[in-house]
Amino acid sequence: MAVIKSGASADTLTIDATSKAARMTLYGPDGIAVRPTIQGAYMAPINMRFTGTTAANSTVWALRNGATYSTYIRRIFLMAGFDGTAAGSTSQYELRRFNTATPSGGASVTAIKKDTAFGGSTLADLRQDTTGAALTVTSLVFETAFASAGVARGATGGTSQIMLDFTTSPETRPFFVLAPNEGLCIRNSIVAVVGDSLSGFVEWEER
Amino acid sequence: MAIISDGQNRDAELRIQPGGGNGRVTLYNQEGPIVFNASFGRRITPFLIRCTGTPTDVDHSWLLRAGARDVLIRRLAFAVQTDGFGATATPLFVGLARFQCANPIVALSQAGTSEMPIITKQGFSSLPSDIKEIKYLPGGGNLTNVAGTPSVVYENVMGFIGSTPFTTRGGTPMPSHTLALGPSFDGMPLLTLHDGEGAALQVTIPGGAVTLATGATYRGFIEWEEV
Repeated sequence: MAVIKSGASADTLTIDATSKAARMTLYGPDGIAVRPTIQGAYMAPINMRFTGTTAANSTVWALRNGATYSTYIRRIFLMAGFDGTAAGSTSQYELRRFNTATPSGGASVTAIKKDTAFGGSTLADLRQDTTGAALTVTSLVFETAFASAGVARGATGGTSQIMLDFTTSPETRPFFVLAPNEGLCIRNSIVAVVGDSLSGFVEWEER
Repeated sequence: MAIISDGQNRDAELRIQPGGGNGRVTLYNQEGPIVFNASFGRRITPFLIRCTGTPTDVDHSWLLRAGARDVLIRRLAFAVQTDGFGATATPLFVGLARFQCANPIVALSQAGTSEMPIITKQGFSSLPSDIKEIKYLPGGGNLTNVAGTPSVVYENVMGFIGSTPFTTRGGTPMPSHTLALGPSFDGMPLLTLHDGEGAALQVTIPGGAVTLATGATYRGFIEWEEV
């Protein structure tokens, strides 16, 4: 009979009584747990219909991280729609990371806990304008876009969707990460017109 | 030769599978086992709502309420279309919202049709589903409380999953979409409903008081684990 004991503490390996299985935690070769402890997991909605013309490269949805934790984004789902007057053009939205400042305007969006046992989100800010009006982005510094979505306006009634899933690997490194004070935003990279719409969600963890 | 046993109570010895020689292990993270070790079965139920009236902003036409066991929602597949003949220049978004009901014993909704969940594998659990209720209005509308029971408090929508503009009869060629809330190898937190909580599908119409044609249809399925 052998009991496996830690060399660094008094801890001993646990064998579960029913399954007779040893408890194990996966670590990478660098000594980092594959699944570190999180502060909480959250989701936030995206919903807007443009009721006017919004200039190209306006920021219409934004999330800014707090100062303490990193935000690990698991999934982003976007569905672009169009119900306006048919035209020979395509709506276009892009996703960018930003830093330095916090957007304003529009309205605050509530981050929803995926489990009510979690504490509240530590995000510094989360907002959108449901009419598609531009947020104020004074002093924001944007990175280059990393994804885009859009739908043809050639016929009214169209939709198009995009799902960014960063969880296809058991590792946490493929996540899209916002360091403290960094943010994620959606911009309309060409002029948005009446009838453009955008819905979806962002799903993330804070740790 | 060594037999590896539990360090605390010595009543469990590591099991080695005969033949293959593999030792049994259970993956844990800092929050507990990654594979749920006390599942009471995985269940699935469909939903199909076709609005025979005019859908209204913030309608909740379908809901599921958890029982004493936690409900971990794994998948929510979704499609939204319209077969009405309207020319209303607006989309209709459908999302998911959690709600709290202070009294988990009294039936939440008197209107609507009840649905029974289907277990995904017979024999998975001999226990019946612990779900308090699944209620929906096949023709759309807003589920109501039983008179005198505590109010249901809806959270904000956590994510919009489907939408359709109302300008084209026959709907949009939107493929079904899966809100993949799990599972995950790394034990990601699933959308969790505790006792006294539930989840509802919520209609949102940008601009609010817009009257839409009938025919809005959203359909799909929801899959969960009871632990």
